[in-house]
Amino acid sequence: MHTSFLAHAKGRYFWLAALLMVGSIVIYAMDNPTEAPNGGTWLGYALGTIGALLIVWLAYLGRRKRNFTHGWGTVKGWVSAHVYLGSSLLVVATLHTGFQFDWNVHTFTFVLMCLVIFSGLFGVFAYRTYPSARNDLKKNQTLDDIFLKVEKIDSELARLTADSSSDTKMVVSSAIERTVIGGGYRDQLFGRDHSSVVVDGNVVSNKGQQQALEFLVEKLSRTEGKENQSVGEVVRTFNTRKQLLDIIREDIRMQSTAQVWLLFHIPVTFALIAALIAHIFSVFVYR
Amino acid sequence: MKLTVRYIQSKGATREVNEVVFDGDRATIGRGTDQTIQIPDRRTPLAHSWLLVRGKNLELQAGNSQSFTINNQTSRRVEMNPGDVVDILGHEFRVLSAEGDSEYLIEVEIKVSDVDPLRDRFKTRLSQLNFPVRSLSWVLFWLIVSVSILIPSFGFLAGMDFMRAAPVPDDRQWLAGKLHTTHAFLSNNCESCHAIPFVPARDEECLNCHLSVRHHYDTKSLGAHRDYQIASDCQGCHREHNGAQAIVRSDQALCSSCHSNLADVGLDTGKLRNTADFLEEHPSFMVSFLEMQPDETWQMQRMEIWDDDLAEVSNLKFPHDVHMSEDGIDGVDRVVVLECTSCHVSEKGGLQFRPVTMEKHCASCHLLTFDPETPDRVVPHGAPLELIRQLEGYYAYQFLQQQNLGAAAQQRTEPQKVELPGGQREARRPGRRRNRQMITDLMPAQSAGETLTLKAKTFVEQSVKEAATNLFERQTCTICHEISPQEGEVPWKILPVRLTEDWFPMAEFSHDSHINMGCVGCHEADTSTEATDVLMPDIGSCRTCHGGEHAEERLQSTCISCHKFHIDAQGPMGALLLIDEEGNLIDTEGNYVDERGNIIDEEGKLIDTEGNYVDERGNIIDAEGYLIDTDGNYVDERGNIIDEEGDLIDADGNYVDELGNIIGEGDNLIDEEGNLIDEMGNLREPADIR
Repeated sequence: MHTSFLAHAKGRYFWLAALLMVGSIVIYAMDNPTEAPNGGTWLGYALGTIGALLIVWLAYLGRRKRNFTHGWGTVKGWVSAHVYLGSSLLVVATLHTGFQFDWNVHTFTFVLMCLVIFSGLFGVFAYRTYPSARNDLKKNQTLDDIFLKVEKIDSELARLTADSSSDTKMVVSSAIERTVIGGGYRDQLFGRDHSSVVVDGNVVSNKGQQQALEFLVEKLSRTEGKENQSVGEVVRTFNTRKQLLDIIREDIRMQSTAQVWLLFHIPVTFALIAALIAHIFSVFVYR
Repeated sequence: MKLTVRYIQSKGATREVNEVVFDGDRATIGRGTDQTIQIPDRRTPLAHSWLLVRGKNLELQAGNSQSFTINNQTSRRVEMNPGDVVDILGHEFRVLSAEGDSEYLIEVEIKVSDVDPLRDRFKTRLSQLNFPVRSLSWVLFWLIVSVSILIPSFGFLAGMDFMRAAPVPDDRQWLAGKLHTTHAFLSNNCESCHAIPFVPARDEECLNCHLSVRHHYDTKSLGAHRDYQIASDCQGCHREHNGAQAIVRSDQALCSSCHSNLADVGLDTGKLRNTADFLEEHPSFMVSFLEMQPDETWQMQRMEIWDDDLAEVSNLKFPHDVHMSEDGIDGVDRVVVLECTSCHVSEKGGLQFRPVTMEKHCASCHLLTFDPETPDRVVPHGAPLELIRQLEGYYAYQFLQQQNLGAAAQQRTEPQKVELPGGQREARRPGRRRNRQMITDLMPAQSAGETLTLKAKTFVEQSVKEAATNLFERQTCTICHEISPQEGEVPWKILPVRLTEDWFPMAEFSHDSHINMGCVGCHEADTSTEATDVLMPDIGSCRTCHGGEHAEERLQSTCISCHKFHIDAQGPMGALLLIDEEGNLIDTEGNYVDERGNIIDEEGKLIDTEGNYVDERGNIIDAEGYLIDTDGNYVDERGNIIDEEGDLIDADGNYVDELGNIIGEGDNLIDEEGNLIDEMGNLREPADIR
């Protein structure tokens, strides 16, 4: 029975993180330091140590997840802990600062940490919504299934247009040949469609197969009788093809969005670790 | 260009022919979907070549590093004529004679051998784009480590100020919170406090500037290296890098950690009572006042303020109530209404009051006149003998005057007759005695020299005695001063007067911050009849408004609202006491020292911490005057070692003479430039050498 990583082990890590956050807030509120609150009071040092250890452990998920079966617990459990304890860092680290911020390497570390956490929170959102959304979109088919369906329709269309007029044939075949799926970062993330089609000797944009469809529909309106029927079938089949392509494009968009935040989250984590080392080094070199 | 393209596509047995007319400047050829003639073959580049019209002919041009074969010859640019066959990566382009409206006709045969599955032709996964996550991560990591650790740390070798001046990352990025405004000028100078890496800022660094800061108690008698319970160094109480927040701790706990029970912490000297909170647990005030000792020195005494025996015996008589009468008091020529501030003027800051003096505050009414005849003549407010001498001079002069004036003086000495209804009455100026001897009675008609002198002397003696007795015993001095009889030329002794100025020396109270309150609210002067009354308020007066640190319905006051931690009377915290105006360094015991801490005695000799005489370089001077360096070698003034045979050896190990010249082989002398010289320092020719 699948449980979400957020509900793993009855939300054990949610409670752990909540305890950590509430505990930190309560102790911070009750503490009455003789100087202004900052990272150098006893509480500041305690929160800082907890935060630093947490950051290192959180980064370790990158290694743990590569050995799916080996290691303590399950990867899903690790992810659950990672997400909740990582979020609790926002409270722990902010209290550690004593709300003192300035233009220095210390606040720089804090900002990097916030960027990592916020990008991670986006990842939580992505992992919670996109898998089921993609499933609903493809209605329990795989992407490969849909691609195969498209290929089948392509040959079906070739057959259907064998006896059509040359312009229809040109439009349909060029639409098929010049269909573009996916592409670079922005193409995938924004679901862009660079498909084109040759109409009246010109190569024009066929975004969403729109231009080709318009041509065919307009052709349909001008035909009658038997020709009308055959063009009609072409139109219907072509429309099915368009819908399948839309599904593919949307799936690619969701899949890439669900991955792109990691391309930010991980490098910034390493930047954070470097800044963390600099932060700890500098507060000890000038004690 | 109007170009007809005839596509021929064979798929197995079928053969498809499609014709398209292209009208435009340039027809592109390639795999890309934006190409005019699309060749859907994976091996074909996205954009391979293009067709255009040059002159009247069709020209085929290949793109960069592309080529084709025409009629089996490789080419990159060629004019195409009907009958030419171009091969682009196995696909044939045949140029035929134009047909119909078009100017040109090309037959394109795409030889499709293998069609990739639709999916594989495209990048449908973000992971296929191979974002360099790993390299970017390490680049960022090492970039930040360099910029924030490695490069600034180079300053520990090259000097941090060098790094700060250079356009490279320096240690200023490590500033963990702004400095307090008083230290802000040190923001670009971390080493002024953080002298040694990884070592907390030491007391030495603080004391470099804060030379005169004092201890809180007598560390000599209560333990030389005793830590203060709350902290063991400056940093324990004074925390920086919190911006404008005060560096000085003001919380009560700082003090009450010891003072709530001094015995518990072993610091009970019996002089202080325990205290913790101003409202809840602070003893009533004790005042310090001056008391004259039998030898007429004044000593500070302390007594509880509520003690009935408390009295300030200042040897002055002064009733406040008389002087503070609301209707005023009689001045010299008019009624004067006195305020507190008529006599009590505070110093700037309101911590002390300017001394009340006779000359400034009393003399305007209390004139020291002694002769009604001359009301503008006053005696000096000073030593009685001085006063007597002045009187003697005065009356001597008077005698001389009356000698001269004779009758005129006689007239003046007769009583004035005032015309009054009902008869004459002898009016008398106050202060003159009826049976005063007339000068003229004393003087016979003749004036013999000796008799005159005697008469003068008698006159002066008597007048002075009369006037002085008046002043001291009846009218003037005795009004304010305590006078006791004594033997000697001056039979009156004025007891010394000292007014206590600082009643609460252990606390600082500013009248300025209480300026809106009336004086008599705390000081019951208006009802005080005697000068011995002590008019200081007790703690209840303060508690009307002030409470402890957490008081709810009073002003929240902590210990340092009134008291100081670093007490001026205690010993200095630093080794150096101070630097005097001439720049001499003085240590804790008042000795002059040099920068190394060697004491400079009266003869100017240096004595190190172990008591040895040393020279400026630190070499010990032994009893016979020989110098011994730190390694134990005998040395001369220049630092050359003297070996057992008495030869001098310099730092490089060469034998040298007293002038520092190196002694070469055969006892030849060599100067600094390597020239041979004789004992006199003259250059020698090599031929002169034995």
